[in-house]
Amino acid sequence: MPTNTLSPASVALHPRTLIPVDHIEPGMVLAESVHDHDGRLLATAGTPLTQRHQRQMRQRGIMMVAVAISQPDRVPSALATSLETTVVAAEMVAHAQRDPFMRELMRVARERHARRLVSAQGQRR
Amino acid sequence: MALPVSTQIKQHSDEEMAILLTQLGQLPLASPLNVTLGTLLGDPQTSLDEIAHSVRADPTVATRLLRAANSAFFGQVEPIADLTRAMRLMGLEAVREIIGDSSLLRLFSLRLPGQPQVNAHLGGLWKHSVATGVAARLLTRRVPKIDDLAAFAAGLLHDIGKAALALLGSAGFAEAMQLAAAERVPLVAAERQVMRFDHALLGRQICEAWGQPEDVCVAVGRHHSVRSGGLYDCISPLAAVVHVADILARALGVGWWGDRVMPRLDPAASALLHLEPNDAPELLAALEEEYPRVLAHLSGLFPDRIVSGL
Repeated sequence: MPTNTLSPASVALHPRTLIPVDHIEPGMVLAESVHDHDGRLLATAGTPLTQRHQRQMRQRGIMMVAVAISQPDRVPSALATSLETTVVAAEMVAHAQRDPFMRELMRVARERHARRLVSAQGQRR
Repeated sequence: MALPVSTQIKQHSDEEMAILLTQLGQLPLASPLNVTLGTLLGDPQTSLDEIAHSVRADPTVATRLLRAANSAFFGQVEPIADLTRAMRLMGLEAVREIIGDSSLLRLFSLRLPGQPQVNAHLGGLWKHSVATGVAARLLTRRVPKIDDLAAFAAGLLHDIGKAALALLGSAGFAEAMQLAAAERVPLVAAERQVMRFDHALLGRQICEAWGQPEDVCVAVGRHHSVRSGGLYDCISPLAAVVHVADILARALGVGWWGDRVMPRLDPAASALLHLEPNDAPELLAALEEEYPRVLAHLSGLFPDRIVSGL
């Protein structure tokens, strides 16, 4: 798992993976900025994550974050590296909307992705 | 005399789209095709007679089928001129193969040697398109008088413009994707800014050039803007279905579609489809169940094909 701090410039080019917020370990480096559902910035790309970040994200209902991988061979799951999961979860995290149908759709979709990711991680262990 | 700037821009983007369409015309995509998707979907109820009836409307495909039936492979002594007889001789599987070969959907399965990124995008677009088609068909239950095969076709084709831009290596499209990622804006907005047209408009032109039904062409062209605007503002029901289907397919999260911004749900589309928050889990579950089956079936009809010399 990643432990080093990365400069904002280098993190943009870094391999990344998505993890459930519950799996954040202190020192992991955020690969993509995290916004809450109203678009407010919670943490910028390159920030080393702390338990405070984790708490804050849980409070704001964020379920997945992208973290930088310092050792690409230790990606937590094959699924996490796939193009599609990365794209989707970023979409879910950053762009939930005010429409009630969309809010519910996002909530269901986020849950599904978190479940899929966790089960894929379980299979790999 | 110098034209106004807006007219110049329009002329420029029209020219660019015309060039893209010409380039597409050189691909092994065959001809206009109006054969119903029922033919391709393996509906056991579809008889060869029914298929022959819809194929007759499309001379290019009819010619192709006749030529195949008269080829040495089938060993006929007397030339066959009757389409139904030709199709009986070849059998349903061979007929489907030839029809599939002529379909616009073939575009998604083309692969370029030495272009892994383009190929990954086309493969991802295919998955997203199938999911959108399946979602569109599910949604037709909520709107009266929408043909579910038209909805399926429009869903499958809604991003054909993106597939064409990716396949043809459009520099503007690459720039638009970068802009969309950097600014966190929808790809369609970035395309309009960079290219002065978007994948929906190009997709509509492709569908028109390949002889798709008019309502399908309109739905493809307006899946990001379901209202027509202007003096006689109205909503296209099929476009509304595809607009919502696209959102559901993104939420399902299979494939690739080029940006990370969920489109805003158009309130008019939401009202037309009577979308309530309670519907979200049910729709997503139904889509999740149906999608893999349809993907497997359609991918069998359109195996990857490597092309060179674009």
